[in-house]
Amino acid sequence: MLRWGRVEVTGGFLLLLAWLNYRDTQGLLLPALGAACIHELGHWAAIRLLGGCVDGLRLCAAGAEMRLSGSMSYCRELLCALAGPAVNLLLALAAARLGGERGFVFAGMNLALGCFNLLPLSVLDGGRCLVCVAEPLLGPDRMQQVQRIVDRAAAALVLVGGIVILGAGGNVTLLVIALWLCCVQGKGLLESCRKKGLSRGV
Amino acid sequence: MRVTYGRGHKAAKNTSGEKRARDQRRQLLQLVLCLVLFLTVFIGKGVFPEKIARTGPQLLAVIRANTDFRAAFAQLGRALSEQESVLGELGQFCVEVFAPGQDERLSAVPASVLWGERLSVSGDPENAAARYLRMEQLPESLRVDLKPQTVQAEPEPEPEPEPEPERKVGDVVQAVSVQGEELPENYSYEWLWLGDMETAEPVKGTVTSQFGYRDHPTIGRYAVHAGVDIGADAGEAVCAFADGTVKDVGEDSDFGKYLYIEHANGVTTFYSHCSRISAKAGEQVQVGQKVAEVGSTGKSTGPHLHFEVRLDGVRLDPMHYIRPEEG
Repeated sequence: MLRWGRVEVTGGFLLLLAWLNYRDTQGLLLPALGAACIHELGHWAAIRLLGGCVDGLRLCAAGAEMRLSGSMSYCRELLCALAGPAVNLLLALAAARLGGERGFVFAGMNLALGCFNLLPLSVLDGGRCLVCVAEPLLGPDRMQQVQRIVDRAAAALVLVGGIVILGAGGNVTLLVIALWLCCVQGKGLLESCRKKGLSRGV
Repeated sequence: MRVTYGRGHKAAKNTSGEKRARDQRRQLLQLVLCLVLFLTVFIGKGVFPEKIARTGPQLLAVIRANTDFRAAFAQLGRALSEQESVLGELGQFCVEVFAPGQDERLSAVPASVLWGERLSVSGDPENAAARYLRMEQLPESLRVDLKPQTVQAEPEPEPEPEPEPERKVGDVVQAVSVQGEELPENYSYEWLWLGDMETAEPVKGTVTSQFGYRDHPTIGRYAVHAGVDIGADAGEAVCAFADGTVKDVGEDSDFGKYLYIEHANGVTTFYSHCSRISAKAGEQVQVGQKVAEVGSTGKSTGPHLHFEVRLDGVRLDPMHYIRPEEG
């Protein structure tokens, strides 16, 4: 693991990046990285503007993770979570206006990234928004249950869809997304189990 | 200091010791994994270089399954600029990215076509599968090695106006087996019967690049070539392969000025790198009629015509149907 100031970069991230760069024959990696960077910058700017403090940024094979210190109000957190996709959508509009082959590719990529991140899963920005909106109404425990149900249902749905599409002669894109979802959620589950186990041991 | 959970100093020390041991184990595992990966690639490249060189594109083909991500993204972006229904376009985007080849869209050939990875155009999958006869199902006597430019004869025109029942459009006239890498889906080395139609040479000249796998001249990597390149002087007339309708005329950075002509029986031909296109989209053209002029537009190293023949979206070796070097 590499550490540079408050930024942590895991070996897996570098390995994935290297492999993508090696295998990317369509020149999609650079615009994709650009879109992802701008997405994170959007979050960061919103957090700084709203008085939050970013404790660290972790780049791993599963994506980027921002750690915040202190807590924010629901409203502010909602704005911060929305800032990333919002920047992507704005950029998509701007790039589409600009036109040109590259502009369209970049616009499409930003739009796809922004919309994907708005899905209401706990690991994505949409999930955070859902928490910010629904937690005040449902309470933390109910919210956690709802989130878990949504997560599992989505993972199961995507997994089934991925297998069906692969069976029907499609490609593995959806299956990879499904595996990624399962992986990330599994990791989250493991961490919460570990925390529970420890707190029970007290 | 990590969380101590109130067990006092000793307990905390133990947990951190355990944690360190676990971290070390994990790092060791990662190291071993990297070593195994490295050795596989390293030894593989040394011992069976050809096999490794072939697995790369094959693996990629499985991962991509003919998806043109770039075109899909570009189309999504374009929809945004044209203020079409973005939601509908997002659905279309998902179809294109996750399940390419499930939708039939021959007419919508995007301008952002990339080398050999253009939008997969598939007709009726069952029919295509039947036409795309595999080598293994054919008797030994029918298998021949592809020798470039050794096509003996054009498919003989049928004596009767209606084709004989034993030879239908898409039937194998001559099975061809080629050593080396297997072609992607929607490509075939086979000489398939295109039906009874009068054909003409698109241009007379020297074949500079054959159909199939080859080292691409401008991108410098081993890639599949979807047609043949016929070198000819700039300005030379490019003629329609057969009677048909000009389906699409366009220009992009890869193929330069190009056009598609749709013929009978699901046959489509593609002409690119032209200096000038004289035919208009939607125009009816006769066999041998001039439709364009040879040029070097797009990614090209000199004046030539890139010519493709497709039957229901399956790209065929044009050398079965034309003899540009004769006469």
